[in-house]
Amino acid sequence: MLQYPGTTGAVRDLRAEIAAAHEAGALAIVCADLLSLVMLTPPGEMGADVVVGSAQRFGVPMGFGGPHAGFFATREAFKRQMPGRLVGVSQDAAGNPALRLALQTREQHIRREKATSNICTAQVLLAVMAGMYAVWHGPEGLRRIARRVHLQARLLAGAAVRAGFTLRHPAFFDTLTLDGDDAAALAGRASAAGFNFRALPDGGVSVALDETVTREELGQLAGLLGAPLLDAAAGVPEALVRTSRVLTAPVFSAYHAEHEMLRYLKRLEDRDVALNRSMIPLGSCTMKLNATAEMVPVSWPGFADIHPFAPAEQTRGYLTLIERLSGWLCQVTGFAAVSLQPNAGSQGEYAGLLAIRAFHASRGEAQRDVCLIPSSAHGTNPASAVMAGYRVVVTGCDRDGNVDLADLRAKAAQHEGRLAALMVTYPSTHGVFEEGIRDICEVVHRHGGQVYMDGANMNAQVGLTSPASIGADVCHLNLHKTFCIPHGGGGPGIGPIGVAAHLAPFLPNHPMRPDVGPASGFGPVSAAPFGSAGILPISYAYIRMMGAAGLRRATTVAILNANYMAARLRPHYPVLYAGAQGLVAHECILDCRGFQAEAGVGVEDIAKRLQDYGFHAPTMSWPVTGTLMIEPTESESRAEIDRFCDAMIAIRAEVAAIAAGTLDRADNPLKHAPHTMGEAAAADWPHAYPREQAVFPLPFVRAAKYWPPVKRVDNAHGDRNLVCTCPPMEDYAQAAD
Amino acid sequence: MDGHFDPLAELGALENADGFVSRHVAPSETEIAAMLREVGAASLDDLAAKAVPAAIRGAPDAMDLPPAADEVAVLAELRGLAGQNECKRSLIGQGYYGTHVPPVIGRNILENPGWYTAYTPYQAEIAQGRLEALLNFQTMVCDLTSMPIANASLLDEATATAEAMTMARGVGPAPADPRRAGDPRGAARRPDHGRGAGRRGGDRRRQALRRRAAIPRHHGRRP
Ligand SMILES: Cc1ncc(COP(=O)(O)O)c(C=O)c1O
Repeated sequence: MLQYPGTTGAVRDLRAEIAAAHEAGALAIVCADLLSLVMLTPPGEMGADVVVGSAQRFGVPMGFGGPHAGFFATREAFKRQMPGRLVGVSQDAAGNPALRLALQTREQHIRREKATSNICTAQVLLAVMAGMYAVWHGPEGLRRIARRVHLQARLLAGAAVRAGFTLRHPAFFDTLTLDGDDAAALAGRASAAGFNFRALPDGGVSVALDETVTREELGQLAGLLGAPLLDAAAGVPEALVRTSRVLTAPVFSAYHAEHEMLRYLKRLEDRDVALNRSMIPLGSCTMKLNATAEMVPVSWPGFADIHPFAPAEQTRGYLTLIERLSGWLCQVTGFAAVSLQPNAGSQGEYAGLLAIRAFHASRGEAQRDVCLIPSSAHGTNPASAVMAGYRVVVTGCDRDGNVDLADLRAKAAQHEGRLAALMVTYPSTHGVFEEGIRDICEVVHRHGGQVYMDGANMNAQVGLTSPASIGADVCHLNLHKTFCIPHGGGGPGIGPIGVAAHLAPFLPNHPMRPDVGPASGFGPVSAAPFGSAGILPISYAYIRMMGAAGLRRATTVAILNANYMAARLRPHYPVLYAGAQGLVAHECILDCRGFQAEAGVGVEDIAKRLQDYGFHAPTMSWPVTGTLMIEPTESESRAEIDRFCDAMIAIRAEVAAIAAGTLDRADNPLKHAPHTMGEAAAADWPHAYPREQAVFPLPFVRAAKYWPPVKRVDNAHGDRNLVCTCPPMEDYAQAAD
Repeated sequence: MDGHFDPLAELGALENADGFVSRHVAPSETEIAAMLREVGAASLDDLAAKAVPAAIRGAPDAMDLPPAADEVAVLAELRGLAGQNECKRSLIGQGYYGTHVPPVIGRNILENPGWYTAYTPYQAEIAQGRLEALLNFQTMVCDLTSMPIANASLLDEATATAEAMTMARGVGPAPADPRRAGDPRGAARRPDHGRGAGRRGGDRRRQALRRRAAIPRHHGRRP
């Protein structure tokens, strides 16, 4: 594993080391800085097998550590092992190009007990921003930015040498490390002048330049060094200057005028369904309101422009916010301590499981390595357990989707002495408050295990019960579900963990910030001490504006909305699972499996048909294949819920019509959904049902029609012909021929 | 006005400190009453009591939180906190750098609910916009690193590095690089002939593992 450029700025030719690694049968991983790669020979040309890094400096604020998009690039041979989601080009049912997530059946999704990655929520919004930064600046703009930053560094290096400092690395891109008698004092002088440098433990000092540094500031920096800006040092050595072109796809050259960019962004936005169009009733995802007032502070410089390793006395506002929010989340969970470091639910799971490991080890029970996980669990649970070094033992569920207590007892007894933990979601992934939860926790405790509660369904608990009340020892919360951080199209997220007092000494900490987390902690799970601190103001604002009574009301109305939907849809769809009183929790599962035999209709047909109504489908085929799981949240009005139910009921009538033979089994609006404007307006309408039924299935649709931009996407086609980058110029040329 | 008029209490009510609650919780009192009838509960408290098992039900005042404040007050409070952070010019590096968010991107993406409230693009047909934006990101990463394939983001640089290590351990020794022959991105468009180390074990083993896994697959549509 190699850093390029190095953390103190060194730019080195990595070819020999990479070749030596390959010689020894190892892969070469390079952590690279994207901006430097505009000018430097890229790792791919040096033989790297994997290149990773952060896209933060492509137009994403520092935000005291996050959120930012990490990136991961690799060779073709490893495409199936690559963690995370991959967008690829495919085609739709009409043969037109269409995009979708590629290779969704990769091993990480399948081999759950053997998973190598637990990534789920990632950093889509930030990746979109970084990608658009490249679109906006284009190859020329990026080259200008990189060359400018580099020239500033070279000028500053010239001044440093003139002033008697030694350059630790004569080859550099944007970061200088200075040695010399005066180096230690320099950081102090800089601070007094309003600059944060990086003082190294060995007495050197590093200065990293960036696109925001002005000519005046560069002059001030030279003044601090004690020499004028007269000559430029060498910087990037000749042999490492990049010769290959970058960003040759047309998209990176087409939108440099602001009107063009504005309209490009608008065009893309209009193709999508988001919460500003209609409810997104995804079970387990809690797509509630992300209020504007919650979002506003995220862009303020006082939150956005703070470096995660800025001296603590410059970040008092953040530290106060973090302390208060942590305290409130302790109140919500009933736990003694909270860590805000994990960047998603998956990382919370990983952190919580490591805390449990450390707890057992501290009691001389390091052999405890069995993690029980019910078969109804979310895929991240076993993946996190495997990554944290546990052996996963799957426990069964009964017909009602509840943990099979007898099986749990048997497995807990069987692994007595090795039992480390149970991971359990509450309310269950089936959306039910299991009556037996305290017994479940008690069984695990009796056999020496700890209970990890997956808090994805916390929106049904806040103010009514708590992870501590059910008997759990540790839980994560998804602030991007229950506490209003928007999903961003697949991230950001924050997955803080709460722990009971006995686990508090084992929370994550951070080597660069000794004041963060307990000294006895196991280490960090994120790069930044407080993870994605930049979006914590969202959850802070939410809790502050709701108060305890408001939060409790939100939870109860979330349960009411789900039960109301269940009541409205029950005459039309079997509603699976309910608690002892016949109620669901905050979500409900509709069984669509019978429609296959009845009408040849699958759950996917219903999901795609909902798009003709302008709705996003509920969660499909999870946790039960062939079902839809609906979670309305408290933020949907009765009118919106009724609109959605009306759509579901109308779709059910179409299924019935197919079964009755009034609609054709193959040529019907469900099988051909979604319908595009192009086909509706075409002279030729080849279907056995009318156009109007296809595109305006209910009166409300007419009032604000959303047109799906493509027909149903063919996933298999794209996986057979994998294309995961923008089409190059040649494809456009061919299309024009 | 009658003699019982308490102007300060009245003022408090008019200030509507918990006014945000009814912005966030959408159903009105009338709607709630109607829906409660539909599900057979007398009140929200009754519904909560019926839904949540008695053994774990908490006291109504279990959470000790500050009383609700309105949007204006909370924004002022947050502005105060932001003001306690000192925006010195940080030239610390270590993976975090000053950058200009282009205003056209700041306002139209970061601050735009059309982008920030969307979900993961599992329903591809209604996610073509952000899928294209992510394809741009992947292309940019491929171009700058000169690698043939890049994903649509991971949580941060540190976890990306850890993921890379885990992947390297899983795939074993480096295979001969089939893409050396030509344009790196061209390789992504060629069908995989199963030469890479990643294909060790092949489809049959993968299917066997799939059968063995006791937990059902997600079909890639999990939340
Ligand atoms: C039940 C459950 N557990 C865990 C997760 C993982 O959370 P995240 O996507 O934040 O990593 C999810 C979410 O999407 C979930 O629904």
